[in-house]
Amino acid sequence: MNPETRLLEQARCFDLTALGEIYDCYSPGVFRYAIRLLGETDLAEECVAETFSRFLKALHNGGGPKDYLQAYLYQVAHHWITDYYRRQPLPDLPLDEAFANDQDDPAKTAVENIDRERVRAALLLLTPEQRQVIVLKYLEGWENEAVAALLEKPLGSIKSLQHRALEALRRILLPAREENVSGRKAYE
Amino acid sequence: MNSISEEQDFEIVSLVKKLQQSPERDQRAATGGRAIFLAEAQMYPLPVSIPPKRRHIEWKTFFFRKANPKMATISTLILIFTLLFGGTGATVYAAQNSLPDETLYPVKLMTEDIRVGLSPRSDDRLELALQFAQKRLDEMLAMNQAGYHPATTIGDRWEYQVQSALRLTANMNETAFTQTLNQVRERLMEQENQLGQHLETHPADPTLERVREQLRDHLGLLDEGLADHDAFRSRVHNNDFGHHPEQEPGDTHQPGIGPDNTQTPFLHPAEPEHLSTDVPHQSATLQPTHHPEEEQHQATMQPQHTSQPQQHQNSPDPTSHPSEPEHRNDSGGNGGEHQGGHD
Repeated sequence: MNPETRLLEQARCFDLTALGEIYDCYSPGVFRYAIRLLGETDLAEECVAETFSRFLKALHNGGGPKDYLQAYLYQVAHHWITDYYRRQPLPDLPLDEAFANDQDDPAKTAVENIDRERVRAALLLLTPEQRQVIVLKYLEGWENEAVAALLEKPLGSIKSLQHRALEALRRILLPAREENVSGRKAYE
Repeated sequence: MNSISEEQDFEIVSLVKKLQQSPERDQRAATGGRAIFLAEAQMYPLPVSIPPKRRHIEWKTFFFRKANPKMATISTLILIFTLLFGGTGATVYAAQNSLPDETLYPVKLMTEDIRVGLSPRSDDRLELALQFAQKRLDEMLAMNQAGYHPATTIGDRWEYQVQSALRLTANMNETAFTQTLNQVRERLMEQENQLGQHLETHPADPTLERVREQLRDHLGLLDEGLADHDAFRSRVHNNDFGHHPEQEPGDTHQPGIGPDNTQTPFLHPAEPEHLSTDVPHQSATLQPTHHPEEEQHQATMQPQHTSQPQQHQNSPDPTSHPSEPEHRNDSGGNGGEHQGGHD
């Protein structure tokens, strides 16, 4: 029995030591995942709290993960974020002009912040699965196989999702160049 | 084209990776979140049994046979035994009231043999032999009452049971001998009375007449046994169960009897000594008392006719009478001439 499985067995008995160990081990990653997508610390903390609360409820009902606890917690957090944005109006892409005129702005940090907000907003325009693939692969550094296991999809589907997600992000984040590419395609 | 796309992908990925620079988590918030989480965990009552959902899953797996192979084996065995012995038991039960002209009659005889074979004590076997002799007599009387001639094979079966009872009596030790002898005599006297009363009101039948004659012989043997135990034992061990005036002096045929042609008479392992030592010339299989041609009699009954010749009634050995062949099988290869059976 691997350590994670043993930890889960103890957690099913609501062993506080085991539960505390799980929180210490996995809550930082969940917070990181949440803050990248939500952009607000308070919202990310709320996401973490709700994720672990749902985990407890699942254990109490005899459910919860049998293995891959980290993937389970990321999935719960992902659903919470998706639900959160479903309740919110989709954000406009902010400050295009500011991004375009970043050379006029001496405050590099401010530009970086603007970039992050644009990317975050673009991610929210993707489908939940596309967004999850991009975040897990490029932000969390997961391998395609791990992402496939989490989403319970074949590896080919994950690659396809990734490809479509990048295309969508290109259209959203690089619209001018996308037009150039389209024109070049037509010319060719 | 592809290089442009790859370039743009790289740019997009670089943009996305800007999100990796996330702010550090506030430690106080993290500690607070942990405390809230553990407090919430303490609010849940400790599980004392498997949670309901899990129990439901176990039942599902039980029914789909992914778990508990022991139960599957047991239920399979129960099914097999039910199919094997349930149907057989019902057949045996249904056979117990069958008459000789019915399909289940051989099953009845077979179960009787098995019952005797499974009885370890000679007392029990004696009681069973007397019971089965009484059953054969009842069957013959019922057939006669219904207007049929009971086949001689039933009479032979009756004789076999009585001889078994007499042999078991002869093998009794001296203490139980007299009591057992009286008991057998009493039962045979009851049968003689029953048969006599029946024949007063019903038409004569050669098989019944033969049984009556044999009954009288056996009762005479038993009376002799009450006076002289050793003489009784000697006669029984020599298979001399009664008076046989028809037997030819030169006839080597032994008067012992078997139930019928198709059935091996039951010999209990506890009683072979008188067969092997006292009657060395006789094989373990008992010989029928009737003549060879009688072996071709059919078990099925022939309709009875009240206008039968009178000589049927007074013939102790039905094979010596020309009116008997109504029981014979005209297809037999032993020269048995079929005389119709209908007068």
